[in-house]
Amino acid sequence: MTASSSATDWLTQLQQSLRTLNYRISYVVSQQGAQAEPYLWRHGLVDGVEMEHLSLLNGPGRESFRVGNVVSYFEPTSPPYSIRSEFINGPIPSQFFMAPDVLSEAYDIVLVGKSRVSGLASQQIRIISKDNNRYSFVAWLDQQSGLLLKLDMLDLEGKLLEQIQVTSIHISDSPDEYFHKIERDKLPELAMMKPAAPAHHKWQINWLPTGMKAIKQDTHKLPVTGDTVDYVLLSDGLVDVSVYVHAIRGTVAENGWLRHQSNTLLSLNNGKIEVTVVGKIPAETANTIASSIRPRAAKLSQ
Amino acid sequence: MTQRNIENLSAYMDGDNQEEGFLEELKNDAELQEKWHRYHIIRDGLKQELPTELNLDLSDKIAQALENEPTIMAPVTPKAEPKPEPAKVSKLAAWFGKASNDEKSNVKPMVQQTGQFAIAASVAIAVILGYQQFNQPVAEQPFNAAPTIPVTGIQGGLSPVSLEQTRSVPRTDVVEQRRRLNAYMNDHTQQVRHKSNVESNDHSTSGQSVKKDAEQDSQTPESK
Repeated sequence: MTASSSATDWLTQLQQSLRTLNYRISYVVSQQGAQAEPYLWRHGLVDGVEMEHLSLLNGPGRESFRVGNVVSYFEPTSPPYSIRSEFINGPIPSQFFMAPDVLSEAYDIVLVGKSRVSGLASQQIRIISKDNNRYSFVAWLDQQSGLLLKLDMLDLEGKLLEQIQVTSIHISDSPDEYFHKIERDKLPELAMMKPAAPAHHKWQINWLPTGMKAIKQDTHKLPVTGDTVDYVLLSDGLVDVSVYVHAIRGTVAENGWLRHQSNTLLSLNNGKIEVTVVGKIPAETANTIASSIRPRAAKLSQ
Repeated sequence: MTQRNIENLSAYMDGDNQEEGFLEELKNDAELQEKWHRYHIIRDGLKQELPTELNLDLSDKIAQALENEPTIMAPVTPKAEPKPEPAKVSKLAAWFGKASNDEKSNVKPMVQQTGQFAIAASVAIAVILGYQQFNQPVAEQPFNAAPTIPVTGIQGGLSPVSLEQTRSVPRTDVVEQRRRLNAYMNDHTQQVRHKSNVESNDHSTSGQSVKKDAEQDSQTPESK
């Protein structure tokens, strides 16, 4: 990369390197009030097919494999399963695996400077939300390959919420031997979800942060409690936010919010309807989204 | 499930060599697999390495076990006869098979088993409670008046959740609340993970079409 490259060029370079290089990367994820989690991440092109492996190294572990556009998850809490996806859902935001132009609708991307990270010369980039109501990110990319070396997620006061720090990075010409050991036909079967019939909820969200869009909505049952909820998934590319609406039965729920690692969970109710917002956004923003929900008046009145 | 199997399971967990073919047996024995699962949770609990998403049906099973416990234990107490060593009991039961004192010898191993399980279960509970207390986060967030409550979360790590409340709520409500919060957190992770997993003829654009659809739907201004 040349010195005159723009911040977006750097992100494009990152995306290309993530997809085309053979690499083995170790990184550690730290979150506020949580223990650090070490990961091992491999990626390779085997006979023209992208293969990827992400492994949580502490505790009972979690393993994810990607072969082409099928991702298999092996976790201690559920039977293994595969889904169709272009990336493994891990600590690194999936947007980094895709073209960065989506990002620029919601965020300003700014080149900051150079520094040394993970023993390598790196380029620092800031990703700041346009309307200042989402967390901001600082990324350090390897000067040579453009691969991610460090990623900080900062709250509105600039306090560190979550950090991904690469501890070792190894780029090779040929894919890791590990990939030859994967027995592809033994991976769990693809669990397909039927495209949900576009649900027409009787309510609508009237305020969203700049660049954030509803990308999915349906009505489904929650795991554990079995409550049926109206659901909307929002995304601005970097963060995903879930909005749930359901009628309260029995005990009156509490208004309040909590932070689970860097996720915010906020719950509001008016005694009849409970609105819950979950995602990596500030509580104030979650509150504004939740408070903007109104009955869909248009259809009823006409 | 025989005693031998349980011993094998235990040895296998410790990485000791086990009998030939035990793995096959384990693969075919659902009950044994469940035990395998529970043993791991108990071990992780003892080592303070419980994942935050402790499998939820565990608590159901603990509740069940606790419920069943007194009724099964009851018949043992009236007898003043010296208790034989537990290990021998089960072996005797196995040896005598359908001997005359069939009923007695069958009841005891069951009591013994349940007793063991009840102890294991209470260990698990104690660990979880202890775990909460050791991980009080630094109180610096809004509404920090109330105690912090870890919910079983969805990330792979081991961190607790801090729950800010405007007032403290009765214990039973807290459990119920934790269940609900947990349900939301779990569902959120699943939804995010599945966002690109939609069946379609052309999967590469399916996300896009859903996007447009949903966008129109939720963003229609009220005035329309």
